[in-house]
Amino acid sequence: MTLRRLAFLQWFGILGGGTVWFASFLAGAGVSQAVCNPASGRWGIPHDAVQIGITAFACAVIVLAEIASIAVFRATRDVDEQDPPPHGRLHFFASAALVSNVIFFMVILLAGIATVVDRTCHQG
Amino acid sequence: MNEYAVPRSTEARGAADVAAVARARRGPTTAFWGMALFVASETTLFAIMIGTYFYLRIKNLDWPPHGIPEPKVVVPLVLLGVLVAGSVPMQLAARAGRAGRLAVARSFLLVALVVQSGYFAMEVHEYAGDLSKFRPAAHAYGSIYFLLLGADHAHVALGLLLNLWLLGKLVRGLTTYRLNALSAIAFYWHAVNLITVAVTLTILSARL
Amino acid sequence: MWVERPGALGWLTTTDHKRVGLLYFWTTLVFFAAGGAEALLMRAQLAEPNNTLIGPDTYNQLFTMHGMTMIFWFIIPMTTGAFGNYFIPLMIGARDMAFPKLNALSFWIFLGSGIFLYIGLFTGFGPNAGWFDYVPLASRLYDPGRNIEFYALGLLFNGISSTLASINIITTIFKLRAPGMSFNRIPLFCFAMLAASLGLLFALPALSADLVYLFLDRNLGFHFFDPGHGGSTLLWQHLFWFFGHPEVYILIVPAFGIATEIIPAFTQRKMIAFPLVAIAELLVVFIGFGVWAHHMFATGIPTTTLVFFAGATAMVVIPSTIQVFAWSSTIFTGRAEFRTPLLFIIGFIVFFVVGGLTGVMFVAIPFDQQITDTYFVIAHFHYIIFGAAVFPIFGGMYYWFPKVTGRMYFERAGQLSFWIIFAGTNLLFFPMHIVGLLGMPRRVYTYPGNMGWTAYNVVESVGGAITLVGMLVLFANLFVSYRRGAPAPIDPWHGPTLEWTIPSPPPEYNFAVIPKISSAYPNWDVSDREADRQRLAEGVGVLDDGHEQIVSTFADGYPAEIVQMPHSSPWPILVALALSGFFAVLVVQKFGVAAVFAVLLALAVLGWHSKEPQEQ
Repeated sequence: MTLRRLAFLQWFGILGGGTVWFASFLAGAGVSQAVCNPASGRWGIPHDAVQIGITAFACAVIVLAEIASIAVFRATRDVDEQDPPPHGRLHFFASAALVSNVIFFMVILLAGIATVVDRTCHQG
Repeated sequence: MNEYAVPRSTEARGAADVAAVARARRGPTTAFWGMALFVASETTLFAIMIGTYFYLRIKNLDWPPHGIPEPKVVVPLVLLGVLVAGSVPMQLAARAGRAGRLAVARSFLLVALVVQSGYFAMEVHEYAGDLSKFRPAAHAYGSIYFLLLGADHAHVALGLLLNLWLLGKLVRGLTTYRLNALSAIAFYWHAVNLITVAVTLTILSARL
Repeated sequence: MWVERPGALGWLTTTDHKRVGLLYFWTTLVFFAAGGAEALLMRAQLAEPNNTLIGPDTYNQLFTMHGMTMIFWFIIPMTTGAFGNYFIPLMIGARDMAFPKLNALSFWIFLGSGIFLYIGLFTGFGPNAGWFDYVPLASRLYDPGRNIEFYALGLLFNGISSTLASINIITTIFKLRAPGMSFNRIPLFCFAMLAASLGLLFALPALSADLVYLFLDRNLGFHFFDPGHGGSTLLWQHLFWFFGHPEVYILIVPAFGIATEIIPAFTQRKMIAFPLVAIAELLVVFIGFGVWAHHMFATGIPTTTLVFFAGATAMVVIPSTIQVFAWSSTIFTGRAEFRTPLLFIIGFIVFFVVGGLTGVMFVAIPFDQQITDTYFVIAHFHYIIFGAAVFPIFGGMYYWFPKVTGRMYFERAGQLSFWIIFAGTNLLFFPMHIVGLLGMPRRVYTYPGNMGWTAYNVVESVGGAITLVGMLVLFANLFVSYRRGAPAPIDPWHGPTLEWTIPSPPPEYNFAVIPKISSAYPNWDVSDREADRQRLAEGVGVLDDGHEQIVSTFADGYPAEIVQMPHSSPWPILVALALSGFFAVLVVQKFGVAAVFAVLLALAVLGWHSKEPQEQ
């Protein structure tokens, strides 16, 4: 694999997960607020369907980010994380991303399932 | 040269030297990063205010509330186009500067400044007109409307002051410092223009 | 040519990161004493039921000022301004921060904002609605005096300092690393400072917006928070906590950074799972941006929305746990030397685990609704803030004392100070869990004698006194050691990072030769340090043509260009003075005079940019 492609996969792996989590979190919390507030009556947003869509999209992107990280990790498996750049740096970020993407995946799934299973707009 | 084989950027004298340094340098300058991070902070501020707008919107059945006119569509969008068009001469000015063509850079900067000043004057006129029709102290709609627009106009005004200052500096010649400033200020304008797009669309969303 | 101006003028115009760091250090200690005094007064009042030592209005100002002072005028400036400024350039092999004049400006603004706030307190208008200042209590209707103007303007003023400091720290870590220090070789302390600074940069705008809304509502009749005119009181809370939750992670992450330097030094072992610890620093702050409404579980927001925040709150624990395992296993598998700095870190781990466990308990919405606004919450966050943010600060003071002062501290007194403080803080804060579960509310100036809370409060107040004694021992130790400690060698601990390669205290220019970097533990790379001695002898990499600094690329640390750094300058303090005048006049609503100060500010900024680097 070329260095350019490795670098692209590395950055997508480390940044993609967090970005899609934050975007889906804002979208999901935002949709739930929009549905459960006075002005939303006339908009007729299908809450559960939208949330499932957001969650599914976000999970798909995270899986891709994790695959990208695994690819970079394997391509640099003979490299130590203190080794010289660029391969040391690539391996370092890939190692970190392997774990962070799993954490983001769990957050998205937890919230996505809970918001659908929960009785919509039930007061806390 | 030195053992690191990199330019001593502050030693550059004259536009050609400065351009050579800019070509030899790897990656954005610290000045650019400083501006990018400042822009990130201001962008977050506008994102928060836009979020406030929509949060208040979903709390209110009537938006705008009774008695307050809906926002105009044509004038804001035309003015927005004028402002965003100003990104072109700003970018061309930065590119000319990096190529060492100082007179060209100054000309594009002046064109940008004229366009942006015209935009600003029209917006101040519109803002005053809005204030004569409804007040921020009447309803939260007015509060967020005038603050969001006012903050945007303030950032445009800051950009005008930056352009004026830069023009004054560039009249006296090109140094690495001034070229870095030109690149950073061009970036500032692109950011302000994108933010203004978001702000304008937010304000216009009241018509939906 | 890297010589400071002598005397007081030298300090007023300094831009050297070490001097700015020291200015921050002493100033934050003064505010720490103020916040501590506020706490001790509260503990004295609460030592007895129905006590009349302090009345309710004063008490309200005390707990508000205590919270604000400790968070904004002690921990943030101590970790970012003092420790960050002093040690980041040293650890990355740089000669100063990226923007030295901006650095000085951050300090003078910070000082100005603190004086501004305390003028409010001493004129009887101290903020009095809690550090989180909820509306409608903080609205003009219920809090008509100037108190909340001091709150809003004081924090806006202070926020400017932190925003500028963040920009400086991030740019420095991104661009000023010595060549060879690619991202994977950045010391963990710097990762922590990067995380905290990124957090501050993106969190502060929410607080700034909130404070502007509040100021406008109170002074110009706007209606952001007024439900009678289309506004929302919850809007305040959402924005406050969007800032406030990342803020508390920002408070603690630099402390993690200090711990991750002290542990390798006193175990002579590299940190286990280095990439995971590095990413955990960043993750805890980043995920922390998604948990804010867990401070609002009792406000009636639908659970459909709350679950997003509960989910993130549950998962934000994981990066912290990764770090706890990494620290503990590094200590267990290394050759641990239990000197004072390491003792404070072990104490920190104990506090952090307990505080972290109670934090996880809050994820359960029903439990949270039971203990919200009780002393259980106070127990949780003081275990975290005092135990897990302040203990590493104390440990760091001891750890770096030899480097900064050139003297060794007295080890036995140091250990004594640790044990007294450890005992005192546990006595002070642990009973708060129990008395909170027994129903004692927060922010009450007194309580009846028949609630069963009295004995716990007495113990807490005693614990507070013991903590005070411990801190007096600590500061006396450092003060006496400064005068009479044994001269310190360059490298007393055989620490891992670059500050241990230069003299104690460091010279103005830090490094005579720009160091060669092969890992995140450069002081342990013997061949590199030998190569540096060789290069110095040959005049290679010395960069002594003026105030030179090398700039490198963002990801891989390849050399990019050589720049000139500013030297001393009067402009930072002048700009700060103009800004102080602006805020002072705003608090008394003289908007015209404020405009004059704004013009003065603009002129000072123009003056700042009047001389370019090559003209200095």
